[in-house]
Amino acid sequence: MTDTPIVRADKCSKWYGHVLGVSDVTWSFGGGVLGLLGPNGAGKSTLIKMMAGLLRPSRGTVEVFGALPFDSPEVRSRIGYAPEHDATWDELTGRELVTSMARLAGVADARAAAQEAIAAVGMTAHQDRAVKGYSKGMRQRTKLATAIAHDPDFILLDEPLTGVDPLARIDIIERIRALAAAGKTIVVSSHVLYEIEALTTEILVIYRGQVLAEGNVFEIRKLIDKHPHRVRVECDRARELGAVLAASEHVARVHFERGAIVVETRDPDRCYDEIAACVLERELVVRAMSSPDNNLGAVFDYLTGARS
Amino acid sequence: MTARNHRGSVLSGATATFEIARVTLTRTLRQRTLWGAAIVAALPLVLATIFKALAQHHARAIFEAAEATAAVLVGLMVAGAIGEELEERTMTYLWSRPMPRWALLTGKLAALVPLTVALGAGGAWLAMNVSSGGDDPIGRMALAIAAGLAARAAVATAFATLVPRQALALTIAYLFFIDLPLAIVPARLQVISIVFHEHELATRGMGESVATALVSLGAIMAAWLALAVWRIRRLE
Repeated sequence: MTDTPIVRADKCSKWYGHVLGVSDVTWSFGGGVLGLLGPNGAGKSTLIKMMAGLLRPSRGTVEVFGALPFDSPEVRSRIGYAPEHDATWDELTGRELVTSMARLAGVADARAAAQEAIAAVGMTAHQDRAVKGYSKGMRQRTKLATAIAHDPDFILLDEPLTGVDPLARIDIIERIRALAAAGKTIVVSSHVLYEIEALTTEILVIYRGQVLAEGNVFEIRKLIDKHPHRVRVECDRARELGAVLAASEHVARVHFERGAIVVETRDPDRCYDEIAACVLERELVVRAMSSPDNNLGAVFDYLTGARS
Repeated sequence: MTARNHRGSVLSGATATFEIARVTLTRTLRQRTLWGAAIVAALPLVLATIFKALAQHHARAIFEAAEATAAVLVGLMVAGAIGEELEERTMTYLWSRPMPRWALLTGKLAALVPLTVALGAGGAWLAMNVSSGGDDPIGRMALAIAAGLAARAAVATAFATLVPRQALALTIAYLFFIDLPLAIVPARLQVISIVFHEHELATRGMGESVATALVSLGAIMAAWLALAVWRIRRLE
Protein backbone atom coordinates (compact mmCIF):
# COMPACT_ATOMS: atom_id res chain seq x y z
CA MET A 1 0.00 0.00 0.00
CA THR A 2 1.16 3.52 -0.73
CA ASP A 3 0.85 6.50 1.63
CA THR A 4 -1.93 8.08 -0.43
CA PRO A 5 -4.55 5.44 -1.10
CA ILE A 6 -6.73 5.67 -4.18
CA VAL A 7 -9.68 4.30 -2.23
CA ARG A 8 -10.34 4.88 1.43
CA ALA A 9 -13.45 3.48 3.11
CA ASP A 10 -14.02 4.64 6.65
CA LYS A 11 -16.58 2.79 8.77
CA CYS A 12 -18.71 2.54 5.68
CA SER A 13 -22.12 0.89 5.82
CA LYS A 14 -24.92 0.63 3.30
CA TRP A 15 -28.47 -0.60 3.86
CA TYR A 16 -31.21 -1.11 1.34
CA GLY A 17 -34.15 -0.58 3.63
CA HIS A 18 -33.69 -3.34 6.18
CA VAL A 19 -31.32 -5.31 3.97
CA LEU A 20 -27.65 -4.93 4.74
CA GLY A 21 -25.37 -4.32 1.78
CA VAL A 22 -22.08 -3.47 3.44
CA SER A 23 -21.40 -3.20 7.16
CA ASP A 24 -18.80 -1.03 8.87
CA VAL A 25 -16.08 -1.46 6.26
CA THR A 26 -12.80 0.31 6.96
CA TRP A 27 -10.32 -0.35 4.22
CA SER A 28 -7.92 1.38 1.86
CA PHE A 29 -6.33 0.51 -1.44
CA GLY A 30 -3.21 2.10 -2.84
CA GLY A 31 -3.07 0.78 -6.39
CA GLY A 32 -2.43 -2.25 -8.56
CA VAL A 33 -4.99 -4.97 -9.14
CA LEU A 34 -7.31 -6.03 -6.38
CA GLY A 35 -9.63 -9.01 -6.47
CA LEU A 36 -12.85 -8.44 -4.59
CA LEU A 37 -13.90 -11.88 -3.58
CA GLY A 38 -17.07 -13.17 -2.03
CA PRO A 39 -20.18 -15.24 -2.70
CA ASN A 40 -23.27 -13.79 -4.38
CA GLY A 41 -24.93 -11.22 -2.15
CA ALA A 42 -21.79 -10.68 -0.09
CA GLY A 43 -21.71 -6.92 -0.76
CA LYS A 44 -19.14 -6.80 -3.58
CA SER A 45 -21.36 -4.91 -6.01
CA THR A 46 -22.47 -2.50 -3.29
CA LEU A 47 -18.87 -1.66 -2.47
CA ILE A 48 -18.02 -1.24 -6.15
CA LYS A 49 -21.05 0.99 -6.75
CA MET A 50 -20.05 3.18 -3.83
CA MET A 51 -16.55 3.50 -5.31
CA ALA A 52 -18.06 4.30 -8.73
CA GLY A 53 -20.26 7.03 -7.27
CA LEU A 54 -23.55 5.28 -7.95
CA LEU A 55 -24.42 4.78 -4.30
CA ARG A 56 -23.95 6.92 -1.22
CA PRO A 57 -22.98 5.12 2.00
CA SER A 58 -25.74 5.08 4.62
CA ARG A 59 -23.07 5.67 7.21
CA GLY A 60 -19.34 6.44 7.02
CA THR A 61 -17.53 7.48 3.86
CA VAL A 62 -15.97 6.06 0.74
CA GLU A 63 -13.39 8.36 -0.81
CA VAL A 64 -11.74 7.89 -4.19
CA PHE A 65 -8.80 10.14 -5.05
CA GLY A 66 -9.54 11.99 -1.79
CA ALA A 67 -13.14 12.96 -2.62
CA LEU A 68 -16.63 11.47 -2.47
CA PRO A 69 -17.37 10.01 -5.92
CA PHE A 70 -21.16 10.39 -5.58
CA ASP A 71 -20.76 14.15 -5.23
CA SER A 72 -17.71 14.70 -7.42
CA PRO A 73 -17.91 14.59 -11.24
CA GLU A 74 -14.16 15.29 -11.28
CA VAL A 75 -13.50 12.02 -9.50
CA ARG A 76 -15.98 10.14 -11.69
CA SER A 77 -14.15 11.37 -14.79
CA ARG A 78 -11.16 9.34 -13.59
CA ILE A 79 -13.16 6.17 -12.95
CA GLY A 80 -14.12 3.51 -15.46
CA TYR A 81 -17.01 1.29 -14.40
CA ALA A 82 -18.39 -1.87 -15.97
CA PRO A 83 -21.55 -2.99 -14.16
CA GLU A 84 -22.45 -6.55 -13.32
CA HIS A 85 -25.72 -6.56 -15.24
CA ASP A 86 -25.97 -7.13 -18.97
CA ALA A 87 -28.67 -4.57 -19.68
CA THR A 88 -27.41 -1.88 -21.99
CA TRP A 89 -28.60 0.21 -24.91
CA ASP A 90 -29.31 -2.74 -27.15
CA GLU A 91 -30.58 -0.66 -30.09
CA LEU A 92 -27.09 0.72 -30.66
CA THR A 93 -24.19 -0.98 -32.36
CA GLY A 94 -21.12 -1.75 -30.30
CA ARG A 95 -19.30 1.19 -31.84
CA GLU A 96 -22.18 3.59 -31.20
CA LEU A 97 -22.46 2.42 -27.60
CA VAL A 98 -18.78 2.85 -26.80
CA THR A 99 -18.62 6.17 -28.68
CA SER A 100 -21.65 7.47 -26.76
CA MET A 101 -20.10 6.45 -23.47
CA ALA A 102 -16.83 8.13 -24.39
CA ARG A 103 -18.72 11.33 -25.30
CA LEU A 104 -20.59 11.15 -22.02
CA ALA A 105 -17.26 10.81 -20.22
CA GLY A 106 -16.12 14.08 -21.75
CA VAL A 107 -13.62 12.70 -24.27
CA ALA A 108 -12.83 15.25 -26.99
CA ASP A 109 -12.33 12.77 -29.82
CA ALA A 110 -14.85 10.15 -28.76
CA ARG A 111 -14.85 8.28 -32.07
CA ALA A 112 -11.11 7.68 -31.98
CA ALA A 113 -11.19 6.81 -28.28
CA ALA A 114 -13.99 4.32 -28.88
CA GLN A 115 -12.16 2.78 -31.81
CA GLU A 116 -9.06 2.22 -29.69
CA ALA A 117 -11.03 0.82 -26.77
CA ILE A 118 -12.93 -1.54 -29.05
CA ALA A 119 -9.66 -2.72 -30.56
CA ALA A 120 -8.17 -3.17 -27.10
CA VAL A 121 -10.94 -5.61 -26.16
CA GLY A 122 -10.85 -7.42 -29.49
CA MET A 123 -14.27 -6.35 -30.73
CA THR A 124 -13.33 -4.50 -33.91
CA ALA A 125 -14.79 -7.19 -36.16
CA HIS A 126 -18.17 -7.00 -34.42
CA GLN A 127 -18.41 -3.29 -33.69
CA ASP A 128 -21.02 -2.51 -36.34
CA ARG A 129 -23.48 -5.14 -35.16
CA ALA A 130 -26.33 -4.23 -32.82
CA VAL A 131 -25.52 -4.98 -29.20
CA LYS A 132 -28.78 -6.94 -28.84
CA GLY A 133 -27.25 -9.67 -31.02
CA TYR A 134 -24.10 -9.99 -28.94
CA SER A 135 -23.16 -13.11 -26.99
CA LYS A 136 -22.41 -12.87 -23.29
CA GLY A 137 -18.69 -12.75 -23.91
CA MET A 138 -19.07 -10.00 -26.50
CA ARG A 139 -21.21 -8.00 -24.10
CA GLN A 140 -18.60 -8.37 -21.37
CA ARG A 141 -15.89 -7.16 -23.73
CA THR A 142 -18.03 -4.24 -24.86
CA LYS A 143 -18.71 -3.29 -21.26
CA LEU A 144 -14.97 -3.37 -20.69
CA ALA A 145 -14.51 -1.05 -23.69
CA THR A 146 -17.07 1.43 -22.30
CA ALA A 147 -15.15 1.38 -19.02
CA ILE A 148 -11.75 2.14 -20.55
CA ALA A 149 -12.57 4.40 -23.53
CA HIS A 150 -11.96 7.59 -21.53
CA ASP A 151 -8.59 6.36 -20.29
CA PRO A 152 -9.52 6.26 -16.59
CA ASP A 153 -6.95 5.90 -13.83
CA PHE A 154 -9.16 3.64 -11.77
CA ILE A 155 -11.21 0.82 -13.31
CA LEU A 156 -14.00 -1.02 -11.52
CA LEU A 157 -15.09 -4.29 -13.11
CA ASP A 158 -18.06 -5.97 -11.48
CA GLU A 159 -18.06 -9.69 -12.30
CA PRO A 160 -16.45 -9.22 -15.74
CA LEU A 161 -16.01 -12.95 -16.28
CA THR A 162 -19.45 -14.17 -15.29
CA GLY A 163 -21.14 -16.32 -17.88
CA VAL A 164 -18.42 -16.18 -20.51
CA ASP A 165 -17.04 -19.26 -22.21
CA PRO A 166 -13.54 -20.51 -21.29
CA LEU A 167 -11.82 -19.02 -24.35
CA ALA A 168 -13.43 -15.63 -23.83
CA ARG A 169 -12.51 -15.84 -20.15
CA ILE A 170 -8.86 -16.34 -20.97
CA ASP A 171 -8.98 -13.48 -23.45
CA ILE A 172 -10.69 -11.07 -21.06
CA ILE A 173 -8.20 -11.97 -18.33
CA GLU A 174 -5.39 -11.13 -20.75
CA ARG A 175 -7.04 -7.77 -21.56
CA ILE A 176 -7.36 -6.93 -17.87
CA ARG A 177 -3.75 -7.93 -17.29
CA ALA A 178 -2.71 -5.63 -20.13
CA LEU A 179 -4.56 -2.75 -18.47
CA ALA A 180 -2.79 -3.52 -15.21
CA ALA A 181 0.55 -3.63 -17.02
CA ALA A 182 -0.25 -0.19 -18.42
CA GLY A 183 -0.38 1.12 -14.86
CA LYS A 184 -4.12 1.20 -14.27
CA THR A 185 -5.52 0.59 -10.84
CA ILE A 186 -8.17 -2.09 -11.15
CA VAL A 187 -10.72 -3.64 -8.83
CA VAL A 188 -12.26 -6.85 -10.16
CA SER A 189 -15.05 -8.61 -8.35
CA SER A 190 -15.89 -12.26 -8.61
CA HIS A 191 -17.42 -15.06 -6.64
CA VAL A 192 -15.28 -17.57 -8.51
CA LEU A 193 -11.95 -18.06 -6.84
CA TYR A 194 -9.82 -19.13 -9.73
CA GLU A 195 -10.92 -16.13 -11.79
CA ILE A 196 -9.46 -13.80 -9.20
CA GLU A 197 -6.45 -16.03 -8.79
CA ALA A 198 -5.74 -15.69 -12.51
CA LEU A 199 -5.68 -11.92 -12.21
CA THR A 200 -4.01 -11.06 -8.94
CA THR A 201 -2.74 -12.32 -5.62
CA GLU A 202 -4.02 -9.19 -3.85
CA ILE A 203 -7.51 -9.84 -2.56
CA LEU A 204 -10.22 -8.46 -0.33
CA VAL A 205 -12.55 -11.14 0.92
CA ILE A 206 -16.03 -9.84 1.66
CA TYR A 207 -18.81 -11.87 3.17
CA ARG A 208 -22.21 -10.83 4.49
CA GLY A 209 -21.25 -7.20 3.98
CA GLN A 210 -18.12 -7.37 6.05
CA VAL A 211 -14.47 -7.54 5.15
CA LEU A 212 -13.35 -10.98 6.14
CA ALA A 213 -9.72 -10.67 5.16
CA GLU A 214 -7.41 -8.64 2.96
CA GLY A 215 -3.90 -8.86 1.61
CA ASN A 216 -2.35 -11.52 -0.54
CA VAL A 217 -3.20 -15.13 -0.14
CA PHE A 218 -0.14 -15.76 2.03
CA GLU A 219 -0.99 -12.91 4.40
CA ILE A 220 -4.51 -14.16 4.67
CA ARG A 221 -3.18 -17.58 5.37
CA LYS A 222 -1.43 -16.21 8.47
CA LEU A 223 -4.76 -15.04 9.82
CA ILE A 224 -6.08 -18.54 9.90
CA ASP A 225 -4.41 -19.69 13.07
CA LYS A 226 -6.74 -22.55 13.76
CA HIS A 227 -6.92 -23.78 10.22
CA PRO A 228 -4.31 -26.48 9.64
CA HIS A 229 -1.98 -25.77 6.78
CA ARG A 230 -1.71 -28.61 4.30
CA VAL A 231 1.49 -29.80 2.71
CA ARG A 232 1.44 -32.42 -0.01
CA VAL A 233 4.63 -34.38 -0.63
CA GLU A 234 5.08 -36.83 -3.50
CA CYS A 235 7.98 -39.14 -2.73
CA ASP A 236 9.14 -42.74 -3.12
CA ARG A 237 8.58 -43.91 0.49
CA ALA A 238 5.62 -41.77 1.47
CA ARG A 239 4.52 -44.03 4.34
CA GLU A 240 7.93 -43.79 5.96
CA LEU A 241 7.83 -39.98 5.83
CA GLY A 242 4.26 -40.00 7.10
CA ALA A 243 5.17 -42.13 10.07
CA VAL A 244 7.92 -39.70 11.10
CA LEU A 245 5.73 -36.63 10.74
CA ALA A 246 2.72 -38.18 12.49
CA ALA A 247 4.76 -38.36 15.69
CA SER A 248 5.24 -34.60 15.76
CA GLU A 249 2.91 -32.62 18.05
CA HIS A 250 2.28 -29.84 15.45
CA VAL A 251 0.86 -32.32 12.95
CA ALA A 252 -2.92 -32.59 13.18
CA ARG A 253 -3.42 -35.23 10.55
CA VAL A 254 -1.61 -37.27 7.95
CA HIS A 255 -3.33 -39.02 5.12
CA PHE A 256 -1.99 -41.01 2.26
CA GLU A 257 -2.66 -40.71 -1.45
CA ARG A 258 -1.13 -42.76 -4.21
CA GLY A 259 2.60 -42.02 -4.03
CA ALA A 260 2.08 -39.02 -1.76
CA ILE A 261 1.17 -37.87 1.72
CA VAL A 262 -0.82 -34.84 2.77
CA VAL A 263 0.18 -33.44 6.14
CA GLU A 264 -2.03 -31.00 8.04
CA THR A 265 0.04 -28.90 10.41
CA ARG A 266 -0.47 -25.95 12.75
CA ASP A 267 3.16 -24.91 12.40
CA PRO A 268 4.09 -24.83 8.71
CA ASP A 269 7.66 -23.60 9.21
CA ARG A 270 8.47 -26.39 11.63
CA CYS A 271 6.77 -28.90 9.37
CA TYR A 272 8.83 -27.87 6.33
CA ASP A 273 12.01 -28.14 8.46
CA GLU A 274 11.10 -31.63 9.61
CA ILE A 275 10.24 -32.79 6.08
CA ALA A 276 13.59 -31.50 4.83
CA ALA A 277 15.46 -33.18 7.70
CA CYS A 278 13.66 -36.50 7.16
CA VAL A 279 14.27 -36.45 3.41
CA LEU A 280 17.98 -35.85 3.92
CA GLU A 281 18.36 -38.33 6.76
CA ARG A 282 16.46 -41.18 5.07
CA GLU A 283 17.51 -40.28 1.52
CA LEU A 284 13.97 -40.10 0.21
CA VAL A 285 13.37 -39.15 -3.41
CA VAL A 286 10.91 -36.23 -3.51
CA ARG A 287 9.12 -35.74 -6.81
CA ALA A 288 6.94 -32.80 -5.87
CA MET A 289 5.90 -30.76 -2.88
CA SER A 290 3.05 -28.25 -2.76
CA SER A 291 0.64 -26.56 -0.44
CA PRO A 292 -2.98 -26.88 -1.51
CA ASP A 293 -3.77 -23.97 0.80
CA ASN A 294 -1.95 -21.59 -1.52
CA ASN A 295 -4.97 -21.90 -3.76
CA LEU A 296 -7.52 -19.17 -2.96
CA GLY A 297 -10.24 -21.75 -2.98
CA ALA A 298 -9.04 -23.42 0.18
CA VAL A 299 -8.69 -20.11 1.98
CA PHE A 300 -12.12 -18.89 0.88
CA ASP A 301 -13.80 -22.13 1.83
CA TYR A 302 -12.25 -21.96 5.23
CA LEU A 303 -12.97 -18.27 5.84
CA THR A 304 -16.60 -18.44 4.78
CA GLY A 305 -17.09 -21.75 6.47
CA ALA A 306 -15.75 -20.36 9.70
CA ARG A 307 -18.25 -17.47 9.71
CA SER A 308 -21.36 -19.29 8.55
CA MET B 1 -5.07 -0.04 -24.68
CA THR B 2 -6.44 3.44 -25.17
CA ALA B 3 -4.09 6.25 -25.98
CA ARG B 4 -3.28 8.78 -23.33
CA ASN B 5 -4.83 11.70 -25.20
CA HIS B 6 -8.37 10.36 -24.74
CA ARG B 7 -8.76 11.47 -21.16
CA GLY B 8 -12.23 12.02 -19.80
CA SER B 9 -13.32 15.36 -18.41
CA VAL B 10 -16.27 16.79 -16.54
CA LEU B 11 -19.23 17.60 -18.80
CA SER B 12 -21.23 20.77 -18.34
CA GLY B 13 -24.98 20.39 -17.90
CA ALA B 14 -25.63 21.75 -21.40
CA THR B 15 -23.12 19.42 -23.08
CA ALA B 16 -24.39 16.43 -21.12
CA THR B 17 -27.98 17.32 -22.07
CA PHE B 18 -27.02 17.49 -25.73
CA GLU B 19 -25.13 14.18 -25.66
CA ILE B 20 -27.89 12.35 -23.81
CA ALA B 21 -30.49 13.82 -26.17
CA ARG B 22 -28.47 12.63 -29.14
CA VAL B 23 -28.20 9.04 -27.96
CA THR B 24 -31.83 9.01 -26.74
CA LEU B 25 -33.04 10.18 -30.14
CA THR B 26 -30.99 7.50 -31.93
CA ARG B 27 -32.34 4.80 -29.66
CA THR B 28 -35.95 5.98 -29.79
CA LEU B 29 -35.99 6.08 -33.56
CA ARG B 30 -35.00 2.39 -33.57
CA GLN B 31 -37.51 1.22 -30.97
CA ARG B 32 -40.91 -0.34 -31.58
CA THR B 33 -42.39 2.02 -29.00
CA LEU B 34 -42.22 4.78 -31.60
CA TRP B 35 -44.52 2.81 -33.88
CA GLY B 36 -46.93 2.21 -31.02
CA ALA B 37 -46.92 5.91 -30.24
CA ALA B 38 -47.49 6.74 -33.90
CA ILE B 39 -50.55 4.48 -33.94
CA VAL B 40 -51.93 6.15 -30.81
CA ALA B 41 -51.25 9.59 -32.30
CA ALA B 42 -53.11 8.58 -35.46
CA LEU B 43 -56.32 7.68 -33.62
CA PRO B 44 -57.80 11.23 -33.84
CA LEU B 45 -57.11 11.14 -37.56
CA VAL B 46 -59.01 7.86 -37.85
CA LEU B 47 -61.91 9.46 -35.97
CA ALA B 48 -61.77 12.54 -38.19
CA THR B 49 -61.83 10.38 -41.30
CA ILE B 50 -64.92 8.58 -40.02
CA PHE B 51 -66.61 11.94 -39.31
CA LYS B 52 -65.73 13.14 -42.79
CA ALA B 53 -67.13 9.98 -44.33
CA LEU B 54 -70.36 10.75 -42.46
CA ALA B 55 -70.18 14.34 -43.74
CA GLN B 56 -69.89 15.69 -40.19
CA HIS B 57 -67.53 18.36 -38.84
CA HIS B 58 -66.40 17.90 -35.24
CA ALA B 59 -63.02 19.60 -34.81
CA ARG B 60 -63.66 20.16 -31.08
CA ALA B 61 -64.46 16.50 -30.58
CA ILE B 62 -61.23 15.69 -32.37
CA PHE B 63 -59.43 18.12 -30.05
CA GLU B 64 -60.79 16.25 -27.03
CA ALA B 65 -59.86 12.93 -28.56
CA ALA B 66 -56.33 14.26 -29.06
CA GLU B 67 -56.25 15.28 -25.40
CA ALA B 68 -57.17 11.74 -24.42
CA THR B 69 -54.53 10.19 -26.67
CA ALA B 70 -51.97 12.68 -25.31
CA ALA B 71 -52.09 10.95 -21.93
CA VAL B 72 -51.28 7.59 -23.51
CA LEU B 73 -48.70 9.14 -25.78
CA VAL B 74 -46.59 10.67 -22.97
CA GLY B 75 -47.05 7.48 -20.99
CA LEU B 76 -45.50 5.47 -23.81
CA MET B 77 -42.87 7.90 -25.00
CA VAL B 78 -41.68 9.52 -21.77
CA ALA B 79 -42.77 7.56 -18.70
CA GLY B 80 -42.06 4.26 -20.42
CA ALA B 81 -38.65 5.30 -21.72
CA ILE B 82 -37.32 6.85 -18.51
CA GLY B 83 -38.97 4.30 -16.22
CA GLU B 84 -37.65 1.38 -18.25
CA GLU B 85 -34.13 2.79 -18.20
CA LEU B 86 -34.23 3.10 -14.41
CA GLU B 87 -35.88 -0.27 -13.98
CA GLU B 88 -33.46 -2.12 -16.25
CA ARG B 89 -30.52 -0.31 -14.65
CA THR B 90 -29.08 0.96 -17.93
CA MET B 91 -29.14 4.35 -16.22
CA THR B 92 -26.19 3.18 -14.09
CA TYR B 93 -23.97 3.76 -17.12
CA LEU B 94 -25.01 7.40 -17.08
CA TRP B 95 -24.77 7.82 -13.33
CA SER B 96 -21.14 6.76 -13.38
CA ARG B 97 -20.33 9.50 -15.92
CA PRO B 98 -18.92 12.89 -14.89
CA MET B 99 -22.04 15.00 -15.32
CA PRO B 100 -24.76 16.55 -13.17
CA ARG B 101 -27.59 14.13 -12.54
CA TRP B 102 -30.30 16.54 -13.66
CA ALA B 103 -28.80 16.40 -17.14
CA LEU B 104 -30.06 12.83 -17.43
CA LEU B 105 -33.62 14.16 -17.36
CA THR B 106 -33.08 17.27 -19.46
CA GLY B 107 -31.27 15.17 -22.05
CA LYS B 108 -34.07 12.63 -22.20
CA LEU B 109 -36.73 15.32 -22.40
CA ALA B 110 -34.84 17.31 -25.03
CA ALA B 111 -35.12 14.28 -27.31
CA LEU B 112 -38.48 12.84 -26.29
CA VAL B 113 -40.65 15.95 -25.90
CA PRO B 114 -40.15 17.26 -29.49
CA LEU B 115 -40.85 13.77 -30.82
CA THR B 116 -43.96 13.39 -28.69
CA VAL B 117 -45.20 16.89 -29.56
CA ALA B 118 -44.56 16.29 -33.25
CA LEU B 119 -46.57 13.09 -33.13
CA GLY B 120 -49.37 14.28 -30.84
CA ALA B 121 -49.86 17.88 -31.92
CA GLY B 122 -49.02 17.13 -35.55
CA GLY B 123 -51.53 14.29 -35.64
CA ALA B 124 -54.15 16.43 -33.92
CA TRP B 125 -53.60 19.34 -36.32
CA LEU B 126 -53.97 17.04 -39.29
CA ALA B 127 -57.09 15.39 -37.86
CA MET B 128 -58.71 18.71 -36.96
CA ASN B 129 -58.08 19.98 -40.47
CA VAL B 130 -59.78 16.90 -41.89
CA SER B 131 -62.78 17.36 -39.58
CA SER B 132 -63.04 21.15 -39.49
CA GLY B 133 -66.03 23.04 -40.81
CA GLY B 134 -63.76 26.00 -41.54
CA ASP B 135 -64.42 28.22 -38.52
CA ASP B 136 -62.39 26.39 -35.88
CA PRO B 137 -59.22 27.92 -34.41
CA ILE B 138 -57.18 24.89 -35.42
CA GLY B 139 -53.80 26.55 -35.01
CA ARG B 140 -54.57 27.56 -31.43
CA MET B 141 -56.01 24.15 -30.62
CA ALA B 142 -52.90 22.45 -31.97
CA LEU B 143 -50.76 24.85 -29.92
CA ALA B 144 -52.81 23.92 -26.86
CA ILE B 145 -52.23 20.23 -27.51
CA ALA B 146 -48.49 20.87 -27.95
CA ALA B 147 -48.24 22.85 -24.70
CA GLY B 148 -50.36 20.26 -22.91
CA LEU B 149 -48.13 17.44 -24.15
CA ALA B 150 -45.03 19.22 -22.84
CA ALA B 151 -46.68 19.66 -19.44
CA ARG B 152 -47.84 16.03 -19.42
CA ALA B 153 -44.27 14.95 -20.25
CA ALA B 154 -43.14 16.58 -17.01
CA VAL B 155 -45.79 14.60 -15.12
CA ALA B 156 -44.58 11.42 -16.82
CA THR B 157 -40.96 12.22 -15.92
CA ALA B 158 -41.83 12.65 -12.27
CA PHE B 159 -43.72 9.36 -12.15
CA ALA B 160 -40.85 7.63 -13.96
CA THR B 161 -38.36 8.72 -11.31
CA LEU B 162 -40.71 8.05 -8.39
CA VAL B 163 -42.08 4.67 -9.46
CA PRO B 164 -40.11 3.44 -12.49
CA ARG B 165 -41.83 0.08 -12.73
CA GLN B 166 -45.39 1.46 -12.76
CA ALA B 167 -44.58 4.78 -14.44
CA LEU B 168 -46.60 4.15 -17.60
CA ALA B 169 -49.75 3.01 -15.78
CA LEU B 170 -49.58 5.68 -13.07
CA THR B 171 -48.98 8.48 -15.55
CA ILE B 172 -52.02 7.50 -17.60
CA ALA B 173 -54.09 6.95 -14.43
CA TYR B 174 -53.13 10.34 -13.01
CA LEU B 175 -53.89 12.19 -16.24
CA PHE B 176 -57.25 10.46 -16.73
CA PHE B 177 -58.51 10.15 -13.18
CA ILE B 178 -57.07 13.20 -11.42
CA ASP B 179 -56.01 15.82 -13.94
CA LEU B 180 -59.07 15.51 -16.19
CA PRO B 181 -61.71 15.55 -13.38
CA LEU B 182 -59.96 18.55 -11.81
CA ALA B 183 -60.54 20.48 -15.03
CA ILE B 184 -64.24 19.73 -14.98
CA VAL B 185 -64.95 20.32 -11.30
CA PRO B 186 -65.63 24.03 -10.79
CA ALA B 187 -63.19 24.73 -8.00
CA ARG B 188 -59.92 26.57 -7.41
CA LEU B 189 -58.05 23.30 -7.90
CA GLN B 190 -58.64 23.76 -11.63
CA VAL B 191 -55.45 25.80 -11.72
CA ILE B 192 -53.34 22.65 -11.27
CA SER B 193 -55.08 20.82 -14.11
CA ILE B 194 -53.27 20.58 -17.42
CA VAL B 195 -56.52 19.86 -19.27
CA PHE B 196 -58.12 23.02 -17.85
CA HIS B 197 -55.37 25.33 -19.14
CA GLU B 198 -55.21 23.40 -22.38
CA HIS B 199 -58.91 24.07 -22.95
CA GLU B 200 -58.48 27.71 -22.04
CA LEU B 201 -55.64 27.98 -24.49
CA ALA B 202 -57.70 26.39 -27.23
CA THR B 203 -61.13 27.87 -26.63
CA ARG B 204 -60.79 30.62 -23.98
CA GLY B 205 -63.96 29.22 -22.37
CA MET B 206 -63.30 30.84 -18.97
CA GLY B 207 -61.67 33.92 -20.45
CA GLU B 208 -58.09 33.05 -19.53
CA SER B 209 -55.58 34.78 -21.80
CA VAL B 210 -53.16 32.79 -23.95
CA ALA B 211 -50.25 34.12 -21.91
CA THR B 212 -51.87 33.16 -18.61
CA ALA B 213 -52.65 29.68 -19.88
CA LEU B 214 -49.12 29.20 -21.16
CA VAL B 215 -47.57 30.51 -17.95
CA SER B 216 -49.85 28.25 -15.91
CA LEU B 217 -48.87 25.22 -17.95
CA GLY B 218 -45.22 26.24 -17.57
CA ALA B 219 -45.66 26.47 -13.80
CA ILE B 220 -47.28 23.02 -13.63
CA MET B 221 -44.47 21.64 -15.78
CA ALA B 222 -41.81 23.26 -13.57
CA ALA B 223 -43.37 21.86 -10.41
CA TRP B 224 -43.41 18.29 -11.73
CA LEU B 225 -39.89 18.62 -13.12
CA ALA B 226 -38.64 19.95 -9.79
CA LEU B 227 -40.05 16.82 -8.17
CA ALA B 228 -38.34 14.64 -10.79
CA VAL B 229 -34.97 16.39 -10.35
CA TRP B 230 -35.25 16.17 -6.57
CA ARG B 231 -35.86 12.46 -6.93
CA ILE B 232 -33.16 11.73 -9.52
CA ARG B 233 -30.52 13.43 -7.36
CA ARG B 234 -31.29 10.99 -4.56
CA LEU B 235 -32.00 7.89 -6.57
CA GLU B 236 -29.53 5.03 -6.11
